[in-house]
Amino acid sequence: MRIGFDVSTIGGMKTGCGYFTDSLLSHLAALDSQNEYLLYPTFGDHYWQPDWRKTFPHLHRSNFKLGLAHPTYTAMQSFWSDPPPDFEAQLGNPHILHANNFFCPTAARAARVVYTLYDLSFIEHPDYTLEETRVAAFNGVFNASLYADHLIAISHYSRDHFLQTFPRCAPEKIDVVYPASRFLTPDRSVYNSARVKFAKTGQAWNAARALRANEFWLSVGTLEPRKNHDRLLQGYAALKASCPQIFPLVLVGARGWLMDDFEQKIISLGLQNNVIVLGYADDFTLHWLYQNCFAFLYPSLFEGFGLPVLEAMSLGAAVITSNVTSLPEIVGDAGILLDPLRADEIAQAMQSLLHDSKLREQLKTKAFERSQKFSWDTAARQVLKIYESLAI
Amino acid sequence: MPHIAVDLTPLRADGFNGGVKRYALGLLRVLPQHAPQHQWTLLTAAETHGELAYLDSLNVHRLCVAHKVTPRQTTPPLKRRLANWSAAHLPTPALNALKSVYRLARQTLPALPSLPVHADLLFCPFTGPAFYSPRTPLVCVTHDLQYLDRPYFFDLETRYYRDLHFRQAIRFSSHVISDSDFTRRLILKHSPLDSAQVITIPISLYAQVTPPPVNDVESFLRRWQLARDCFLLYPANFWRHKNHEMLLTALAMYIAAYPESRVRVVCTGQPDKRMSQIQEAASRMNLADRIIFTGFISDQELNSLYVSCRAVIFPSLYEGFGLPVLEGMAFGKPVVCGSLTALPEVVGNAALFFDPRQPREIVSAIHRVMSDPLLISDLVERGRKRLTELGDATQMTKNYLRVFELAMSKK
Repeated sequence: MRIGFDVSTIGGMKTGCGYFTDSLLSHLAALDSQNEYLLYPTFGDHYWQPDWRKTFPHLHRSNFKLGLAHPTYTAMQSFWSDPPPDFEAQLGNPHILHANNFFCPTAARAARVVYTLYDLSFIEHPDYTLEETRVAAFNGVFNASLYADHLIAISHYSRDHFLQTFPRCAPEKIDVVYPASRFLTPDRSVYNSARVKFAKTGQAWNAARALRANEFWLSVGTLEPRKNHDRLLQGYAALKASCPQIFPLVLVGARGWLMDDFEQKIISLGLQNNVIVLGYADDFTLHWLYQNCFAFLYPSLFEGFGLPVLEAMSLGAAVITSNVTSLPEIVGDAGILLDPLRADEIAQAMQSLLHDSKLREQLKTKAFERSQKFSWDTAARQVLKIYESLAI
Repeated sequence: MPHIAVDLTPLRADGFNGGVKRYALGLLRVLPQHAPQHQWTLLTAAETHGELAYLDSLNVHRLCVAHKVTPRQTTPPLKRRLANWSAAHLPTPALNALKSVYRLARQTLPALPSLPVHADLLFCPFTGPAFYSPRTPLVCVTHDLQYLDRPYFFDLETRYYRDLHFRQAIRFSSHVISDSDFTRRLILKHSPLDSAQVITIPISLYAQVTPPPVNDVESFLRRWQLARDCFLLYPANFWRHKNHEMLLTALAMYIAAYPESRVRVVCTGQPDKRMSQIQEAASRMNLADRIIFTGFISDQELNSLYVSCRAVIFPSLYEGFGLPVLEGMAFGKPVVCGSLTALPEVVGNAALFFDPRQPREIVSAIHRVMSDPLLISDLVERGRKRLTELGDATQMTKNYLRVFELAMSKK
């Protein structure tokens, strides 16, 4: 079986989609030496990673090869949005075509299309996405509802949301495959994503080194409205008002958009000496931060899964997160769940951990135990089974 | 006795002009009536010269000046084809270098042929002038700047021509007319014109909408097997910003939630590749019997749909004005429409708004308009009031003529 695999997101500063694709690919590589994999670094009509040549994964497996790639954005866009007659031949005639970045191909005739469904946040909160990205993402899921032979949803929440939005799509076409924490899988010998050096990487680690273990609050996630940093800051400020000797709040994540005035917000709340904006962090730094934070805070307004929470749990962090969208499904009773619209609840939850060290210890244990139920090996086996069932 | 030339060379016989065709021809029916002392020469292309014969009158003459429609989406010049080729084949750094050279070169505009008639003013209802004579003042109408605001909705070709026409318009016009303040703000943002040179005149031509004869309406409805009051009308071409995918999604959600409803949606619009894609999507969604694609239809047929629909639905993501929603009101129909760009300004409080990016909001709008008679009569009433507020064709033509006078007095 020949599998065409979209790796368009795994270069550069990875976010959710990129980590999902990267981890899935590395575990498929560990598992499968039979089937042939063709990797497409330029996939779809929207997302373009200019440095894909530099960030293309180094694969030490002969059955993983570079597939069709386009030299320019325009060439990529015209290939995918206006497919040529030899569309599938150019792709190397794959039996399976697996899309991992919202775009869904519509021109496959022989190949069976598998589509990774992350979330549909953009139909509930359209203002949290750039309009161009929103249009591309919606068209992607819309086409997936019509043209995908099988969908892989990263949570039951996303699966249900999709079926409510596209009620004519057959439910049996969608399986849930949970991602897992990438910090639990030390064996990456067969596959290594090229180490991209970011100017900020050293900076993030230097800043992290100045922190004292178990004496800082941590939140990880791109700085964008959906992640609800505003209310996190408000809750943190309320906590500070009640006890001025407060642990610093460390924010990790690339700067998204609509956040130009973020520093201003921090200053207006009088938190400039308490909040540390670390920027994008490498895995080494992240690992240390997750392991040593006093607690992990993730009051996001919308998630398809919520990978940072699971990563924090897998390294034994006590977790405070939202009771909306996919988060209750992932965290279960292994963390404090609250209404993300209420800053006072965030402050209260933080307070309860400060005052009740037993509660914190319990949550840390529970979080680690629960995270063990999610495994990339299981996920890769599920995906492989889906490929096999389709290719018959 | 002023002589005004009107550039109608971009006018097409098919539906690709969209609402602008209805606007331009509607305007040219009333303008000469309100200015009987002016001489009007309509500069036409061969394709539509004959079609416009009905506009002839004592002070209106047609002059065929072009064999082909002004190149809007016809074969691009060699330069453009080269640009396309290099965009597809050159690596990014080389492409960027080329682009900066092009940006320098582009500051000089291609020369326009001079006006084939002697006139005191050239008026361009389609943004870009096909002619220019330095001694004849020029007034252009810019209907939207979507190509700058939402470039990703257009291919390179369309962007190239829209940009060319807009730059010609702002370079050579003494005054630019916009349909809405929304568009006016964008024109001011993207041009060196000062605020006195850009004038908003909303389109208000609906007094002339006359319901077609009942027999014609009935036979048209029979042809499409439509029942009065049981369908929603979406009059729009299949351009990407018209958001047909979202309408389909919402319709399927609505039918799943209200399986007893027999509602149908009628989409007009010039057939093209996108229409085939939307049609294919509809049939894959089992909506083939719920959505009717009429293709491009005559004004009379469109009016038949307006008078017999339940409501006009307008989920567009981008409008510089939004003529069809006002036409719906003029036919006494409730309007449910998107809340983005110029629509709120144009519609005021006379429609049921929804966010066209949220299918659930569209579903609840459809539900309300299908089930709430009080809402319908309220919307119809508000629609009437709104049209009165916007003024009638007389006022609109007066405003246009005032701009023409201004332009001619500056000469």
